[in-house]
Amino acid sequence: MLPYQLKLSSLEIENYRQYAKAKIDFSTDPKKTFTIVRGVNGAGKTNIMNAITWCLYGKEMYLSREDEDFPIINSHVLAEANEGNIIRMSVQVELADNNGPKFRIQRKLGLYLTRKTNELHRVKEGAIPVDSTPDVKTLFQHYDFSKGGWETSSYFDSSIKKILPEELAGYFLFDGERLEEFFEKIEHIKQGIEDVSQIQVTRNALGHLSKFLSEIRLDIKDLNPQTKEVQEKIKIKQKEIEDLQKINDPLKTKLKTVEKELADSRLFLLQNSDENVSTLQKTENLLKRTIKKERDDLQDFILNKTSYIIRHASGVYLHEVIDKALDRIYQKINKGEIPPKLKQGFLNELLETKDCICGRKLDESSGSLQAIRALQKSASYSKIGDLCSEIKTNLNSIKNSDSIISTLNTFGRKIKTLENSIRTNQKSLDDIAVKLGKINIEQVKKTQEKKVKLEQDEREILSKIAVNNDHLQQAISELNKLNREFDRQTSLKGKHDFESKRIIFCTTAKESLEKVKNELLDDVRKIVQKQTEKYFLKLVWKKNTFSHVSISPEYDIKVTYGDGHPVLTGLSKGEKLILALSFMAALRESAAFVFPLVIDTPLGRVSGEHRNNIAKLLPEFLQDKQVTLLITDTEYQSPVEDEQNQKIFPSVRDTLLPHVGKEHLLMYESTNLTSSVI
Amino acid sequence: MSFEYDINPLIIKKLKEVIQDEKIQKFIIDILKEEQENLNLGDRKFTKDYEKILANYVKMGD
Repeated sequence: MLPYQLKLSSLEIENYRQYAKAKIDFSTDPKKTFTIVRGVNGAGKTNIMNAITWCLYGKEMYLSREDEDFPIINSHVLAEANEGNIIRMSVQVELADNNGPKFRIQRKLGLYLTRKTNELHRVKEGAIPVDSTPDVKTLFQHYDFSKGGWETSSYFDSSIKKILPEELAGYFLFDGERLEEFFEKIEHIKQGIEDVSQIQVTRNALGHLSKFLSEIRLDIKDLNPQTKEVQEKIKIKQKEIEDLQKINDPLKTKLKTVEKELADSRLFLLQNSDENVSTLQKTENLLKRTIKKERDDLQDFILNKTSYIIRHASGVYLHEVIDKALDRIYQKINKGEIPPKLKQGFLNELLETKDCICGRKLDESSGSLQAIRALQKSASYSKIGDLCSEIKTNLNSIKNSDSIISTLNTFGRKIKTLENSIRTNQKSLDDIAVKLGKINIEQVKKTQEKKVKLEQDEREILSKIAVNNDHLQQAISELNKLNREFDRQTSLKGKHDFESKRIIFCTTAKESLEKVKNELLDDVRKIVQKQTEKYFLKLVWKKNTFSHVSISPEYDIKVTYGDGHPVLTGLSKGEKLILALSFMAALRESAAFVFPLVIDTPLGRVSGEHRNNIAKLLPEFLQDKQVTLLITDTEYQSPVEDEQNQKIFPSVRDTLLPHVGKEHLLMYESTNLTSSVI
Repeated sequence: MSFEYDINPLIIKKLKEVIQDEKIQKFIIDILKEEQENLNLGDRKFTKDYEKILANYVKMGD
């Protein structure tokens, strides 16, 4: 049984980066588990994830290269502030489980402006403006149902680690555009498996047990000279090991920095690659065609609506007069004056043919014709009567204003839908134009050079770490030998019985735990492999093409064709993304943590039928899991065109809509550099 | 704090499967719990806590 089924319930942001004041309510509906936050590039989607990680860990873990140079506090608010002012910024995350509210986490930053200069936009560590003094306050509360209110915890950091340790954040909040790259590194796959299954805890315990055993050994007094000598050697070897470990720490930190910069450079080059430019251009053309068709349709609807109004305007505007006319006509009907008893047409025919309907001939002498002429005279108003009947029918049909209004509303709705769609598509088009405009050949060249240099740095650091690890392993092996010798000697002496028993007990525990750790690693790897395969084969559209997914003991992940050939390098972008998503979902299956998923740009790297399929299968695949997608309008709203098969699929929005509980739009206002959430 | 954080059930299951000696089993679970707390409390010195745990399993004069 997992400890919590946590869900994000709300995120409140004040004066953080492009947000002045914003609140996002997440869908906690178990049947509609998706929350969509959409917006154009630069509107602040990724900073939603950064706001969450800043609140939890005080770090913006997904900061873009562009944002690194900007202060964490809203630029507009900063510009408006004066020297000596304190500007306040805060982020609050609320989490719930199936029973209701659970945790409230808050981080506040107060910035005291020491000087008001043009330098304010320059930042120091933590993206704090150079001429300011920060004051950070944190608050962690859990909801106490017995008291019906929030209770504050004294231990912020430890409470956060209980919910989602920082090292695991990347498996629950991640960037779809970087997922494929992250996933291709064996170390990341290994780290993922170890992190989420808490194998690190067993590693820590093993390390501490070794140190603890050493301390027991070094604390033993009254040893004979021979054993004392071994004890001294143990001390020296331990110091050597500590020094070697210290060398690795800065190297690992440097490696992380290099890896991040390398990932940024690779992403930049990918976004500016010829292939990406061509995809953007294709989407641009599709959007242009869609907008043109929508504009034509809109024009048609407007014309049809206008002509309908012209046709029916009289009925609407003159309905009082018509009512009166009809009233008068009905009065006549009630009096029996209309319709006429004898129709004028019938009398005229009798007078003309002089043939009675009984077959008799009508003549002047019989007086019949005179009688008919008299009738004709007396029924002269019946012409008006006939006309009235006709008018009554026409007026009734004109008077039907309810149906006119309903038809006009239908026109109105269709026009509004088309106008909205044109607006959204136009925004996506503008977004693409900005992206295409940003591509700078000189910058691409520089980044390419930087990437080569970073790759070289990465290789050098890795090689230094490997050499150091070799020395470390050798030292550990020598220490183990010394420890065994020491334990053998002390166990022979009766006066150290108690220490000896403690050493034997802890050594047995250490060896047992080592075995547990190794078997566990293997078990978790197999579980993750099985789940990854299950998800991948379920999600991938070429179902009969692939047969197997394997993660080797060296954490190398392979997909196999039906005929047994491995295919990782041959996977398409969409298939790689599916594989990466499957792996991330599989990791969650063996984790002791249940934190909601937040995915930035989930479909940015896939297009055509693949995008359509992922959108279709994502809800099934992430069943019962709360998911927030930070998505561009182009990804979400535009129809999906599959050029290869000459098909147009519904937009991601249309496909996902039945599973979407909340939808928010990020609106960026360039005049005050501020985004708002709608 | 009214909420608890458990060790991954997979670890406990594996422990019981691999280690027959119940005393060792319990000792390891205790230190894993302690590790979990250490992880949560940062660089707290572990020796004292390990001493305390071990004292429940290996006693003077046993």
